[in-house]
Amino acid sequence: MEERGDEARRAGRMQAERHTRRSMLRLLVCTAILRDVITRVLPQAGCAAWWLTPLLMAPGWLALLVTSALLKRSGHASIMEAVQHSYGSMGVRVLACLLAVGLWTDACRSLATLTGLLTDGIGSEGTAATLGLLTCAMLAPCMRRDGLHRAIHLLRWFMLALAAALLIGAAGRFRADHLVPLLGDGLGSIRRSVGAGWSLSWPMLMLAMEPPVSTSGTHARESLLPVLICCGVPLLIVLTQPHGLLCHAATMGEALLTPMAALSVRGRTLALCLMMMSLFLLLAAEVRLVGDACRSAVGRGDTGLVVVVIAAVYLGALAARNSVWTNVGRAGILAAWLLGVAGCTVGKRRQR
Amino acid sequence: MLLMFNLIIEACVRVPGVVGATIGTVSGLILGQTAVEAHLVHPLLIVVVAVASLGSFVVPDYSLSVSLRIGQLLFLAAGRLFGVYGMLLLLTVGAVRLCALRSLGSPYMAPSAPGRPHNPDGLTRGPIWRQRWRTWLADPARRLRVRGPMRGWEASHGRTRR
Repeated sequence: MEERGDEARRAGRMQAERHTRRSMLRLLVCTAILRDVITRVLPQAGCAAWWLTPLLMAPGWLALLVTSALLKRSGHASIMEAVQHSYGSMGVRVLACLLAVGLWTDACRSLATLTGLLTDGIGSEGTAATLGLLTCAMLAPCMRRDGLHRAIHLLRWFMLALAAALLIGAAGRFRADHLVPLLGDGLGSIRRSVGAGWSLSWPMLMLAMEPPVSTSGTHARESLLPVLICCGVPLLIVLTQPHGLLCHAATMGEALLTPMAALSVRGRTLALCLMMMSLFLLLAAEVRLVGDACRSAVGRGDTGLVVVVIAAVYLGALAARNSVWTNVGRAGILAAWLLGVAGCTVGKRRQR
Repeated sequence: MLLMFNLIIEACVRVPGVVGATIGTVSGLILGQTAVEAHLVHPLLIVVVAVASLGSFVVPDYSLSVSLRIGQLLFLAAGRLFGVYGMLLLLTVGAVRLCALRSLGSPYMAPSAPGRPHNPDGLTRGPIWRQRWRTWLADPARRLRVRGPMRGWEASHGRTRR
């Protein structure tokens, strides 16, 4: 049906904005999963990471497939829309709280990883607290209007070009025999890495929070690119380095630098730039989404909310190395998994 | 060095005619050579500063080139204070800032960000018969370009893509 005037313009603009917002969610999914793969799974599993990563991602992807199918059957475009329709505004608030808690813990982990890379890994001047403060200070201008979505949409080409340059540089060093010691040092390392990475796939559910770009598209189809990237990167890392090198990292900084060990000096600089930029954009996207979720939960817009969220992330990242944090992190992951449960229950309820 | 170079540029702009160009060339040569010979700066720095400053002249609009030169100074400060991480942060925040701007109601960085899902023209031109919808950037009165088959000769074979 032909559309006219303001409504048509608004529809076109909304579609473009949705397109850019999906770019942000895809970056979130890829970077969050790869962060956990590099910092947790690779140091534990070594060469087995190339097949263990898809295995660990399977729960999130299956949850996304089920949610996507149920949403399609019930005629809803996203989990939030379905919850709004089925449970009303209270359901939306509860879901927004779950989302905020899950993303907040992940944002704290992202900031801790970024500061770990800078302090333990590269050895930058300054403590984790000051570098975290600098990062948080730079987050505030990123929250302005829709700039972050669009910037990620714009910068993705730059980041993909960097990744392609790295791939071309590393291609000469691929050794197929690195894939052979599949079990690494035995089943113990596999068990430990499964324990460390059991939660890495929940960001896949974030894709179901936004409607698909086109009316004919589905969440499952749009998740193929992130899945491909998240499975491909560990495979490429494993191909470049032997098992012994992958497993020797003792700290988070060393674990983050391990995948770059086989690259040339120029390639390492490029890889570091790519990693720092991805982690910063992941952090900004998570802070933005936590802010949006808190706004939905509270029910009114407040400009000071973003500052509170940034401060909470900063404090959370400072506390991320304490043992208490482990329980908070587990609670956050549990809250994040409940998003999938919410999507499934809503779909089932609509079927009846 | 960047400050010195900017000083020369501003002096050249304000001095009329051939004298301005001569001042620029002579002062640039003398200052650059003296700075290197006095071991104040590395020769590579002169090359970097010269290339960076020439780059700012590629922009045809003078006011835009001024803002680029200010950006150079900011990047220099960020790089000096926080290294590569500072420069990356500034690049990211700058990109976010540019993308958040609006000019006459349209996003400043459009059509790169936000994109045009139905009009994928960028550096290359996409096939027009696959672009059923007009771009939203132009605020068209009718967004739908053609109703029915986009290419008439395909209608009889039923191969039209909607």
